[in-house]
Order: sequence, then structure tokens, then C-alpha cells
Amino acid sequence: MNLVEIRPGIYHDSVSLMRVSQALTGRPGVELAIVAMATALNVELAVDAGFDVPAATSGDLLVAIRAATDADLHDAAADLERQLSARTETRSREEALPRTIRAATRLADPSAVVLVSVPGEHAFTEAMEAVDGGHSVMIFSDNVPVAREVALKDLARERGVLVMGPDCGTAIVGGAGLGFANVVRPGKVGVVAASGTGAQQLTALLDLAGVGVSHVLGVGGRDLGAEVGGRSTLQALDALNADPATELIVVVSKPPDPDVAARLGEAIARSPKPVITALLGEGQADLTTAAESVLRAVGAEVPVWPSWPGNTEPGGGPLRGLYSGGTLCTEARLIAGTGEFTDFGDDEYTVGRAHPMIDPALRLEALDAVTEGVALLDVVLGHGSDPDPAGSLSAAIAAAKSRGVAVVVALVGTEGDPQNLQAQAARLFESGAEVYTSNAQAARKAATLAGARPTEPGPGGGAETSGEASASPDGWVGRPLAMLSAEPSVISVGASILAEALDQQAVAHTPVDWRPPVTGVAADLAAVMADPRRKPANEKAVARLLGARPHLVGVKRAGDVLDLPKGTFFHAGPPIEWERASGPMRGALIGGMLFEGLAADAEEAERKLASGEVKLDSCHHHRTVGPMAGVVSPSMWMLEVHDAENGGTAFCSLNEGLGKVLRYGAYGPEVIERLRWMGDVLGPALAEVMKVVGPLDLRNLVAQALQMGDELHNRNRAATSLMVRELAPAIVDAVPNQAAEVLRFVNGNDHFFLNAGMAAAKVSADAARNVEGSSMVVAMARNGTDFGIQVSGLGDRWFTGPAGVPDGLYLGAYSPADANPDIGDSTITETVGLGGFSMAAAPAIVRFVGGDVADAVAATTAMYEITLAEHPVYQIPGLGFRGTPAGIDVTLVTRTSVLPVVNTGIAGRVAGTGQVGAGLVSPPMEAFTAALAALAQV
Amino acid sequence: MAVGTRPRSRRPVQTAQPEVTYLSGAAATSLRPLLEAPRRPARVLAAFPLAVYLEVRTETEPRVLALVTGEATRLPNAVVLTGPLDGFSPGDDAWVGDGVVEAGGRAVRVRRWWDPAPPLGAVSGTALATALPVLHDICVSSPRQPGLESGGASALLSAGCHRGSLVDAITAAEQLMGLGPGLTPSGDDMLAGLLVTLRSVGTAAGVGRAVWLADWLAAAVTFDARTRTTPISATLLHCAARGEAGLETLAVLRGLTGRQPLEPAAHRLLRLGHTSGADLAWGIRTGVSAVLGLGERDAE
Repeated sequence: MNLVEIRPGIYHDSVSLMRVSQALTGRPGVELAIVAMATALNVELAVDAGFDVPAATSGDLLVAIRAATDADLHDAAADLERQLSARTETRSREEALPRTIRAATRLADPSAVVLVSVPGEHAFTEAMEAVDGGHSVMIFSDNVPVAREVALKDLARERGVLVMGPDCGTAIVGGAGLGFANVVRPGKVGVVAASGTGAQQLTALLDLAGVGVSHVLGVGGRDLGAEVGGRSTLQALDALNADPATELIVVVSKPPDPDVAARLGEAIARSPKPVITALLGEGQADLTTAAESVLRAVGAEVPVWPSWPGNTEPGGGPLRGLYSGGTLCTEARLIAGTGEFTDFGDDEYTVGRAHPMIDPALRLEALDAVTEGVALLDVVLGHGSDPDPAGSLSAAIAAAKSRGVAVVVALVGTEGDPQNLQAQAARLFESGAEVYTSNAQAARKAATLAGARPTEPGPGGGAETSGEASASPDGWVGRPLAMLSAEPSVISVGASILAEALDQQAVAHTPVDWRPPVTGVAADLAAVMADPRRKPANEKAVARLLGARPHLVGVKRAGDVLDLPKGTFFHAGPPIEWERASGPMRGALIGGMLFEGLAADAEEAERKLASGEVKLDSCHHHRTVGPMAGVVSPSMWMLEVHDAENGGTAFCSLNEGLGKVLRYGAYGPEVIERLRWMGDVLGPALAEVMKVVGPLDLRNLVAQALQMGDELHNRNRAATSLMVRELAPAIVDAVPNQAAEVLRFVNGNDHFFLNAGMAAAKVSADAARNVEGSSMVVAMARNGTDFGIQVSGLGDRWFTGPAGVPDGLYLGAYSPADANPDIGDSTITETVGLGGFSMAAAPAIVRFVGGDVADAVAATTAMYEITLAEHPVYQIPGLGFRGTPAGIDVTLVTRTSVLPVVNTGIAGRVAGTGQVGAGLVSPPMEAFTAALAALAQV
Repeated sequence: MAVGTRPRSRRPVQTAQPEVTYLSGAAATSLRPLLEAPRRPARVLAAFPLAVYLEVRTETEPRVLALVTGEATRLPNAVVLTGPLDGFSPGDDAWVGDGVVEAGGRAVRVRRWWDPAPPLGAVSGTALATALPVLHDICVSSPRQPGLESGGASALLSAGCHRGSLVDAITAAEQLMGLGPGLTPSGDDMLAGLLVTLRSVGTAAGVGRAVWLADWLAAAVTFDARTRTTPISATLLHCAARGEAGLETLAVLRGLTGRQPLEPAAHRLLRLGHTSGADLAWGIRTGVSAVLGLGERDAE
């Protein structure tokens, strides 16, 4: 019986899923279980295994189980749920975990090292963020293009941090093992390693001899190649020279490119501390000999390396090497000089499955296939490796022995390793293997048993040192790395199994709740992240945004100040034509036609609008914004807001009030009547008032209102009250005969301030436009059909997707069937950090949009993940006066899949219905992915 | 010592053998001999929410071992865990050795080791002289002050170290031992800070006289620490005598020698316990000041 399921949008890392698959396959009655992310490869695997897999993307979880009976299948499915929920609840979730490295660095130590183990195509982006933020990084992932590696390492050198990797599986920083590492005692030998298992063998032997290790700095497999030129190696050398705990340095690698070797040689010659190189290859010293040189150099005794030899007679026959560590495999092959060797850690064996140090399946199969001669294997202990490798291998070893195969095992590990070295050796020995803690000795023994003549140990690498150069008296030589001096702390991104090892070592650890970015953006994201203009451009753009000082300076007739001839209307949102416009938009345009006297009745207005006689354009193109339908016509009066800091100006219509109003698409006589009054009486009156009162500091009002429970998009009561308080005396002075009328009108509308707030936001965002290379959003707007965004570095281009229907609470008898898609320019407030982004300041709003207070706070907290800065003036008391999250970054949205949250009113679908509810909505992700793609081309 | 409020009251004796939970943590290398030796009996001396103290039946130091968790101070004789430390009572039986610490139904293995007496690397007199006032200012303006009044034995100790006068220094040290409030009496913390600083900063600055002074003071202090103060404090004095310090102290020392930012480290240290942090800080300042003073005298 088969069970196949696709679960969209669920993410788990590949190692956790592998464990789940194994656990399920091991259940009684289960033939096969595949639980994996639905990548093309995994889907193919499932199809080949006979499952019928429906369409899926690599962001979905694929579950395929085959069991003998229905009952077994049911039990397995239940077990699956338990396993998956156990994985997601490994920490108590009182507070949401940070979603990005950026957010995590705010919580962690400045000297924390970032451990990146996300799939290769995303690793560069994450590592870039770590390095840019001034943190050393260990990149466990591979499949990072070499050009990106070089860019990363150059930036790291500038920032004074180290890149360990890509494809770096082993590091020890201040005693904390990162990735696959052994538990070694602290001491005075520092290791620079381009090879993980090479470093593991070396440090394990040193520890067995009682000599400790200060740090093991991995540099990635390609670092000493021609393109990368040894960048990390040279930096690591500098760092260990500057580290007081290190007295001797060892460099472990396969033979480097000749030019690089020369540069390395120069650096070593200049090094004040002695350096021993273990550059494995033909005619070079093996790792054991190198370890022995180190021991002699520090004056320690060279012990007899622990082993559990057997008394098998050499029986000849082929030698078969089955290795999990690449360097150990190479070393063994060189020493044995004969036989067929396979490195199961090599890429061809690990695509789509976990490394052999975790998953022994392939090696066991291969061992079972050996029928004669000698089998040589490595077993590597330590953090991250199989908790009981001897247990996994013992049956297969015993079986091989019974077939007459001699088995030799190189057991790399220390007495302190979690697997218990002695117990593992004993178990392997009992199964019939000969066990050596030195891979070189194991290889020699295996070759001898196979009747061959192994190569003799090469010359010991002597300590190479400058001799004369010594530390300058004042301070130290070399360039110190912050991560080496402080207590180790880690920010981890990716495979949770590596995070478990950190908890076991009681290392201060901040996990990042990483999800893969939206499908298909990896290449664009990497391109944009690598753009050197991006960071300074964003800094400039956000500074302009935050530095704006909007003031209300006047009230003017639209036709006088805007490029708005008769027969033209502006509207909210990105450009749209009549055919695609929704109910409220059409209604408002009809109303506008009637108000301007361009049509005698609604039918004529509709006819003219449909025929294209009327010109329509976005408010945003004309320094203007309008709420809801946002229709602006020449006879309307506009609030004029001026930015005292950057010099710009922006406009917004006057708020008509609640109920049947133009902006909701009503166009009846009372609507037109009110519009006329506003144009004849209210507008000019307010213009007089502004002459008397002078520029009104809107930034100040907004900041105060935020601390009084407003969020300035959907809740404006405090701001409106404050504004009336400021203007009331001037209203009485300037227009004494109309003062009462004006005040009553304003007071009847809690959202009167919204329009001033919108214009203030517009002028602030406009100040940040057109900064080349910036990925910051400068406009978000909806026209009732489309939701569009504009980006600073992309000029006037709009990037759109369908506008969604807000999700929230409905007034009276209204329901979602009555709702129009999202409409209005009022999302300009979210664009500058207000509205939905400031919900934590306005918990009372949940009575209108639904949810509870904790949701309001969570909404704001999530927005910090996708914004560039915290506003210096707009602060939220409930968050300890933290500034509101301001400056949305397109790259952060596409990376984290966290969309901006908008808090808005819901308009009725049918023109003129008015407000039917209030709720939360997000822009469509496609707007952001399209913007990102455009940025990647610029 | 950040150890929480009141110790737990005694639990009734358990008759059934409880299940053992295996935990792992990180430990100071000073504990390695204790852990690698054969299993020895021990007992729980004190139990707080963030720290549990075990006394092992052995003649060699360190005899007291601290299991700590969370934000508790990383003592030089500590095993740091990540989980909660509930279910321990004073007087409970425990076992230490053969690679494991067994107590309260838990078996703790060590998966990471750190050196509580790491080399600080070379530092110049000028650099030290610039850093010391920064530390001094932070300490005097902090609400956390040392537990003992200034003057008296502490003034004598400070003056004695400055002049390199063994008589004065040792007399004052013996007066301070066991003196003052706290699980680790203030006088002991002051001495501990001083001992570690004289040794490690003296070495880093190349002032041999400071290390000589540290050796003599250490000998005097460890001679009868057991009889003059609490078992926990006595072990910590023995650690300090060997130059082993808690991680917070080490952070300040690294800050003074320019290896990491001094101010956050100083603030973190001062927040320890009620007065422990301030007492240790007093010891550090006195030690650095003495190193500078003795260094000048050496130069003359």
C-alpha cells in the first residue's frame, strides 16, 4: 500500500529528513519511506521507486511511504507526524526565532561565528550577509561558484573576518567544535586546514599524545587552488600568529597550486611562530608523520599510536578501500600503492543524500560486495558523526570476515569523543577488524595483508620558521580575529544536526529560523547581493527616508498646483485602464466626472470613461497620493506637505469623512454636494488657516500619536485630535464665521489626519527615490485590481501582482463576498514604517482587524526582518521605545518570504457601498520577485 | 556569584533507583584530572537554580566542582550545561570520575574543554596604563561596589603589592581570607582577582616581580584556605593561585590587554552575584596597578 503526499510550504533540512526517512523505513511492515523536499532529484527517486508523485515544487515536502498493510501505513503516517512535530519543537517558542542572520546578529555576541549549512545555491547570500555584518563565517555548504568565493574572501579581508569554506566541514574555535570535529584538549598547536578529515586525523593524534589544540581554522577545499590563491589560508596564518594561545602552527592541505605554494612559503618564512606544513601528496609526509613532527617540535614524547592489531596472516588478494573522508582516502591510496579506493564523501555519492559520516548505507553495501582480499575503511568519530559507527558496521564486518576478507579499520577519534573511542575500537575488534588510530599505519597494514609493499613514511616535515623575525615589543604581529579571543558563540543557519552538537557543547548559540527563499530567485538574489553598490545605496536611501521632516504648509486647489488639466483624473495605485478597474474605482471616476461637470449623469460618465476620452494616471507619478480610490480632479483641494530636510513636496486630497463618500465609489448627489462644499468652503478656509498657523510639523504629530495608540493608517484618532488642537485657534482666528462648520466636519471623522499622514509619508519616501543600486521600496499602492511597488534603484517602474482581499473583521451583515480587492495609496504609510508595521503601538486595532494583542506585536516584530533600519523618531513604547521598522528591502522580502503586513479598511465590491470591514493584507510576492529580477539586470 | 535566591530545602530520601538522564556540557580543564580519575564519592554542598556545588572526597584540589547553567558565572571549576538544574538537594550523594559527574539522577559528560588560565599575549606598560583608568572609571561609577569597606586590610594589601612588600601583602591577605558577606566571601574574591591578575598580567607585561609576588601570595593563601573559609571559596582560591579564573574575569583581562572590548566585559563582570563581580574587579585593578608599579621599579 502506497501513501504519497505533497505538503506545500513546509521546510525541513535534508539531514533531519533523512533521519525521519530512516526511522520510518525501520518500522515493522514499512518497505520504503521517502520523506524529503520535493526537489527534481527526490521526485525522480520517488517515481523510480514506483510512487505516483503529483506536481510539486522544491519548496514543498514530499512524503512517500510503502507498507505491507493499511494498518502499517496508518501507523507509519502517525509516526511521521510525531517525528516532524518533534523536529519543529526542539526549542521552546516563546519568542519567534530570528529569520535572518541580520536579525540574529542583534541578539548574539559581536564576535560570534556564523555557521552556514543551507543548500549551496543559497549559501553565498547568507555568507555575504554574515561577512558584511562583520562576522567570521564557516560555510559547510558546497556548490558555491568559485568567483563568489573570491568575492566573499576579499570582502572578509576588508572587514577583518575569516571565511572558513565553502565546503568546510571541520573547525574548532576556542575549543568549540563546529561541524565534524573531535573533542580535543585546549593547547598550543593551531591548525590551518584545507582538509576536514585531514585536520581531524592530525588533531586526534595530537590529543592522544597529550598535546592540545588552540584552534582549527578550515579554509575550504579550493582555497589553495589558483583562483582563490590561498586567501583564507594566509589570513588564518596571520590570525594564529596574533593569537596568544597558539605557539606552533600546522598547515594541512593537499598540494597547492605552485604559485600559491610560493606565496604560502613567503608567508611562512615571515611567520614569527614556527609553522609545519603537511601538504599531502607524492613524496610528502603523511598525516601521522606530520603529527610526530609537531610533537617533536613542541618537545612532547612521540607515543606508540594506539591500535588493536589482529594476527591475520597476509593472504594476498585485492585491496579495497572504502572511505568516508577524502583526504584519508587519498593518503591511504598513496601509502598502499595498490588497490581500488572509493571516497564515498565525494559529490557523486552525496547528491541528494547525507554524507557517509552520518549515513553508512552506501559503504555497507560496498563492503557486502567485497568477496576476497582486504577491505580498508575509515571510521571517523566526533561531533556530527554517527553516534555508533561500530554498531552500524559490526554485522557487515563480521560477515566479510566469514567470507575470508581481512578487514582493517582506521579509527580517527579521541578519548573525549562522544562515541567513546575505547568502546568503538573494542566493538570493531570483536567483529573481526584490525583497528588503528593512525590512518597511515592502517593503510600500511592493509597493503601488507594484501601482499603488496606499501610506501615508507616520507621525510618528517620540519618546522619552518623565519628565525629572526620576532614580535614587535608593543603588541603583537599578525592580524587578530575577534572570534578567536572571546568565548565561542555561534549563529547557526541550516542543518539542525550541527546545531545539536553546539548545544551538547554548551556553546552560546543563536539559531536562525531559515527558510529557502521564494522559488526561482536564487540566481537574481545572489547577483543583487553581490552588487557592491547595494549596501551604500541602501544606506543613502534609508537615510533620506528617515531624515525627512514633513510639514503641512498649505491647502491648494489641485488644478492650480498639479499637472492636471480638465479631462484628466489621477487615481490610486499603479496605472490602470477603465476595463480592468473594480467597482469602487469606477464609481469614484464616475463621481469625479460628475463633480467636474464633464458628464450630465452616470451613464454618460461611464460611456466617456469607457471610450478612452478621459485621461487617467497614477497619483504617484505626480507627487500625490489618495486614499481608497484616490481619485483627484482639478477642482479638489489638496493638503500640501513640504519636506524641510530634502526640499520635496507632496500632496493628498482632503478626507471626505465616513459613510457614502467618493473614495469608496459613491457618486450620488450628496457625495457631489459634499465635494462642492469641500472645494468652495473647506479647502479655502483651511488655506487661510495655514497662512495663520504657519508650517505644521507632521513628524512631531506622528511621533506623538504613535505613543498614544495610533498606527497612522487604520487608526488615526489620536493624530486627528492632536491636529485639531494645533489648528483650532487658527481656525477661529482665520475663518471666524465658518469655524464651527469646519471644526464639526473635522471632528466627525477620526481619519482626518490620515491624508496629511499619507502626504508626509509620500514626501519622505520620494526623497529616497532614484538612488542607483538601492533595493529599497519607495512606494506601495493598490488600484483595486493590482498591487504595485516601486523601488529606489529602479526609477519609475512599477512591479505588480493581483491585489488580495484583506483578511479581517466585517461590519454589520457584510461578509467576504462583499469585499473588493485591496485599494488605495494609503500603503505609503507602511512604506515608511507606520500602519501595519507599527501595530505593536496600536494594540486596540485588533478589535477591528481581528486577532489578539500578541498578534499585533508579532506583526511589527516580523517586519524588522525585512527592513533596513529602525526609525529614529517614530518609536514604539511597548517595545522599549524601539524605532519602527522602516525601509523595506526587496532582497530581504524575497529571501525570507516575509511579506510586508498592511493594516487597512476593506471597501465594498459594489461601487458606493462604503467600508465593509477592516483587516490585514500583504502585497503579492510576485511584485517583489519581479523587482528583484529587474535589479539583477541593472 | 550569580546563583539565584535561596537554596532548596531537604527532600525525603528516595528508595527506588531513579532513571539516569545523560547530559553533556563544557568544562574547565582544571577539572580534567578529577574527571579522568577513577570514580570517587561526592556530595551536594549547595543547590541553587543556576548552580549546584559538589564536594568530592579527594585530597587534591580542585575539590569542589560547580555545575552551572544559563547565565550563571563560568567559574574556573565549572561544568556548564544548557538545561535546567532542578532536583538537587544539599547532602545528596554524587559520584565524580571515569569521565562522568553523576548527581541528582543525571550523568554529565564533558564534550568541550576550555582553558581557565589562557596566555594573554604580550602587552606593553603603556597600553596597560591607558586601559586601567577606563576600568577604574567603570567600577567607581557602577552601583555594584565591593562588599568590604575600603581601607584596612584591603588598603594594606594594595600598598604592599605596589611596594613589593611580601610581609605587608601576606599579612593583609590573611586578614582578608574568609572576610565579608557572600557564598564566596568578599575578601576571597578580592584575593582571587588579585592573584590571577598578578600572575597573568605580570607574565604578559614581562614584570617578573609581579609573578614572584603572585607565587608567594598564592602559597600563603592556599596554605590554610581550607580552614579559614567556605569549601567553595577555598577551591576557588586554589584555582586563583594557579592563575585560573572565571570567564568573566578572563574577558576583562583580555580587554585590558587589548584583545577584546573592555567596557562590555567590565559591565558583565560587575553584574556577577551581589558583590562578587565588584570584588573581583577590585582585585584586578589592584593587580594591574601593582604590575605597573613594580614594572617601573624594575626599570629603575
